[in-house]
Amino acid sequence: MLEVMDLYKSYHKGGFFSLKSRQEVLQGISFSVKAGECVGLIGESGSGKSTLSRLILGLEKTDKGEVKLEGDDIATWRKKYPGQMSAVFQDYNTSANPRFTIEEIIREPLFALQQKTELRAFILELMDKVGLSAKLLIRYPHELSGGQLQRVCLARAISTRPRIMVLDEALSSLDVYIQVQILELLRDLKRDLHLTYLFIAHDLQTITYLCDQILFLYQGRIVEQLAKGELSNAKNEYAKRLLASVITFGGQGQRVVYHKCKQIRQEVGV
Amino acid sequence: MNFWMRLKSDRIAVLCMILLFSVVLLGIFAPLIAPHDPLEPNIKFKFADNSLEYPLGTDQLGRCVLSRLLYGIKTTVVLSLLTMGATLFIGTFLGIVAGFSRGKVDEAIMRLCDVLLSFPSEVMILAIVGMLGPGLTNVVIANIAAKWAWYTRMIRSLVMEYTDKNYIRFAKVAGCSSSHIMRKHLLPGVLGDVIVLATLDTGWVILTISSLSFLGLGVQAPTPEWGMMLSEAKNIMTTHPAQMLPPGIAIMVVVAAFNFLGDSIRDALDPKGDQTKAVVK
Repeated sequence: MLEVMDLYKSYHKGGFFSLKSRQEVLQGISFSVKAGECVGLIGESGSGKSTLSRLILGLEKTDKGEVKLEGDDIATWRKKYPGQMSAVFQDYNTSANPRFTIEEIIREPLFALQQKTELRAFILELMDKVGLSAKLLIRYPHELSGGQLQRVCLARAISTRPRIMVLDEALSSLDVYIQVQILELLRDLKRDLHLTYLFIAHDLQTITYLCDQILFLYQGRIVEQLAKGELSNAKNEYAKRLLASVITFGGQGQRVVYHKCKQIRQEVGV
Repeated sequence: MNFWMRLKSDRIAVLCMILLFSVVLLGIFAPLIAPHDPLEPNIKFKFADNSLEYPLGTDQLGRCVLSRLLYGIKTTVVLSLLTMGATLFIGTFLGIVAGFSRGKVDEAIMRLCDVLLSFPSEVMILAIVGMLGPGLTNVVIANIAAKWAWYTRMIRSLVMEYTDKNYIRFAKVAGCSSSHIMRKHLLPGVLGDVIVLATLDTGWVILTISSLSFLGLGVQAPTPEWGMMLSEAKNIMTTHPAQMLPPGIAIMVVVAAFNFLGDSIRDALDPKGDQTKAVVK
């Protein structure tokens, strides 16, 4: 479905006269994502994760290389299927227009698609899905906590029933209970809507929970690409180091953590 | 609470709006309200004291000060609003074009602004009025010419700031049209910030028009205008200092009202204001 071919991107280092000096952010990224698949992208800060996500969303132009969705470039594809691409960003503070109420925020993409019938019930359903009370609908973004706002962003992102979704560190700002809840929601959505994800994160635990494929991004290059089951086969030094830092937690450790959380959640009755 | 409700709950804002609105109304209906012809000299009654016939007395030529003040609204307040409106229109249009296109068009507009901004605005206004000759229209043209570059810059940087926000990114990704993004996100945001500046600047424009008239470059002699009246009063300052009070106070009150209104609009535009007020209540 999504194909990224030999992508290069660099930015000016700044300074009017230093025309030559550029910061190379992405250097020859290639990968592909099949429909209904979830690909996790992992890498440390500054490795170019967010830049890559902006390029895939078509918010910036590539220097070299192409991003194709079902054979079309992003702009053409988006015109053909409006609302079928969606995103959740890392910084929830600027993700919602401060002048809009929560209801208006969730309604916006639907409104843009000219879906005006029975919106209210649908929005309530979405709020319920992300575990938020309907009372919040009349509030403004600054009156919500960060975790609540990020879930509003998620509700907005899934409101148009997208086929492809980019989650750029979308869960990093949430606490563990809500992370688990959202991860389960994302997995259900993937199953029900046949959703394709590009899941960007810096911690391995959330990625292994959801993703079928994991890409390791290091200094602007993809250094290792592994399927979910073969994490132990990592050959690259950086990927190994990253994996080791989690595996010391215990090979089954990640699972254990999630089951613990789930247990606690059930006990508390959330 | 929306913007209007917040603005209405602000007493100072309501007071300023009522005041400015009635000033404009008084200006429009000046021919009906004014007790005398503002241009009619009556040397016999010069420097008359306050009386029922001349509520604010008469000036050095025996003209009714109140009538001149009322007729002066049209020139002073209405012209400054017109100047501000035109400046804002040019600034918003060019600013959004520059901020959105970001290419060669942006460069061209910005360098032109740089050139204009490298002159102090007062000098610029004096130079333009000097070239075009004194007169009301030329004062307005000079004011617009001196100010639009600054507004274009301002609005361009605001547009660029807003287009980097995640909610506009999301709207683009979700396939919302550019006009939707402009109407729903960009214009309310940018205009919200700019209207505050504009109301604050309206006071500045009134002062500029008045000071140009004071220097003899703006409105010409018999036409009633507040700055002009102040200028005439200056000549007889030593013998009749009270002559300066009516136009001086009128300018001060209107400028202050615009400034207070600007502050209130800024507060009302910020939904976060609710919270603090709720706590106080």
